[in-house]
Amino acid sequence: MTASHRLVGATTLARIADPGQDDGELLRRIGHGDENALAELYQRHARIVLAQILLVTGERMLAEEILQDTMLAVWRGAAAFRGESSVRSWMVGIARRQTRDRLRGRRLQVVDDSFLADQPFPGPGPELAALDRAELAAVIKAIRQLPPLHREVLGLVFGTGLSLPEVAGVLEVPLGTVKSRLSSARTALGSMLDKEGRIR
Amino acid sequence: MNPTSPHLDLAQLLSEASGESADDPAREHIATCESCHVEARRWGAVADGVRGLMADVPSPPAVPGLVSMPAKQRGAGLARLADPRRRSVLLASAAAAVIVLGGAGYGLTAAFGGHATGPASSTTTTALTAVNGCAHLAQVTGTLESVNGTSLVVETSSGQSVTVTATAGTRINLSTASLSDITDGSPVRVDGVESNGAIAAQKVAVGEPTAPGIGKTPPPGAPPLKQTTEHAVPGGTIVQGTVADATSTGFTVDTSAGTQIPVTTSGSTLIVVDNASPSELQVGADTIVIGSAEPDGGLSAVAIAQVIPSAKVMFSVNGCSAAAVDDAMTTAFGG
Repeated sequence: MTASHRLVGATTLARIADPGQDDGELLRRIGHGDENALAELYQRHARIVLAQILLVTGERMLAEEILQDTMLAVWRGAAAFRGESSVRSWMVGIARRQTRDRLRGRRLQVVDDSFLADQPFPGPGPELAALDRAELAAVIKAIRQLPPLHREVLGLVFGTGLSLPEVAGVLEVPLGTVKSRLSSARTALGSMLDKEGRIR
Repeated sequence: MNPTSPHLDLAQLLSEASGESADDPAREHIATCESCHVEARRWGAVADGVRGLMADVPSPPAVPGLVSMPAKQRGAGLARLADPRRRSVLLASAAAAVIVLGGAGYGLTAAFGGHATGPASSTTTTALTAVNGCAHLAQVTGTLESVNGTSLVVETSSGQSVTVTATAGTRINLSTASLSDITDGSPVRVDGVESNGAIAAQKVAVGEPTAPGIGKTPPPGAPPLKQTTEHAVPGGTIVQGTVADATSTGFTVDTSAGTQIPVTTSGSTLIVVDNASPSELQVGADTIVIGSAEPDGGLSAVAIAQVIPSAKVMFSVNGCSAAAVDDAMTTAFGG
């Protein structure tokens, strides 16, 4: 058996063992009006979805409201779930749209991907060195100060357990854009840490 | 491995940074490649930071409590979230007939799915269900059996009868209305999609709302209330004024600014009557009552809603007060 065969096999087994496999059944029940299923889905995913929303909004009360709206949307839309993505990525996608709608009109500090595409790769710079020596508390503080677009992709990739293709689906962008956005976020994070280090 | 590079690709680096098991070739490579090792470590620092930040998130609000009545009929129906600014959610549906009152704002404690958590007080009948999170409120859902002045009888699906008393302050909303309820001179609020100067109505609220906020009629001289809404109709338009030239296919809205806006209706248009009187309630219709439990097992109604069987209506409250429930009803059904 080759390594690639082993990998495929392991992935398949992991998916079978993943309790997320039951999520589809929960959604089916929710689609039939089963409130207990909605409760179970909430208990499974609410914390991660809330964390992601909060990472982007930075406002707890608003994040909880968006979570509520997300669960209502899940209740409403469960019957329409087609199983083309994992339930969690579907929920995270709903939460993202709810967040976007709620933040619409606010002046967001975002980075345009088209701008990023025109930038040459900067190569190793002081920001990477800053990342190398930064302590966890400083990294956390710096992440809080990143633009929402960067916080969003970092949270999706490292906080929600979604794969890169799933993140691309949630963000409704090509996979390459996810990667470039991710790299941009890391560079921005390093720059922030470097700046903080210089100030101190 | 990256097909165009001897080094690990980003997905592999992220897997390594996330502590997930990479495949053997990737592990072998990272053990010998200083560049990939450093890259993975940097991504690890980022991942740790993100996880540290997200782990610091407080627990989600307690799962909202539900009380419900057995479904008579299920249907997709209308679904809407009345006001996204609100803290908590109250959801009512004739199909699932669910009421959710809750949110962190006022200490919701019950578990989701906690149906019929018992009588609202020790002296009430079990036909009433507690509204979790609002100790002084109870609710009953069922079929309206009779109306005698301000005294109503609601029969639950289990056959128990509850006497409901409507007061002068009781808010009554009907989403069981028909096009014939739209008559010339009625205050109206139209929620629909604008096209070529006309509004194709998806929802028409008839009646004078009393709660503050978006249901208010603009003062004389003010510009017509015509705003984009994300509520019932995403990207839709709300027009408010007085009905004129009502026909079976539409009417005109006379706004307070003197403009006339044509509105078309169809069989799918939801008609609701806001601030109705008890005599307008339909016997036999699905009815939801929220109010204060009386010692005799009855209910002094804060709000009464009748909904069409296939409707699934969601609305939110930001507290347990009568005003909050009243405001939520107005926004959901009439607003």
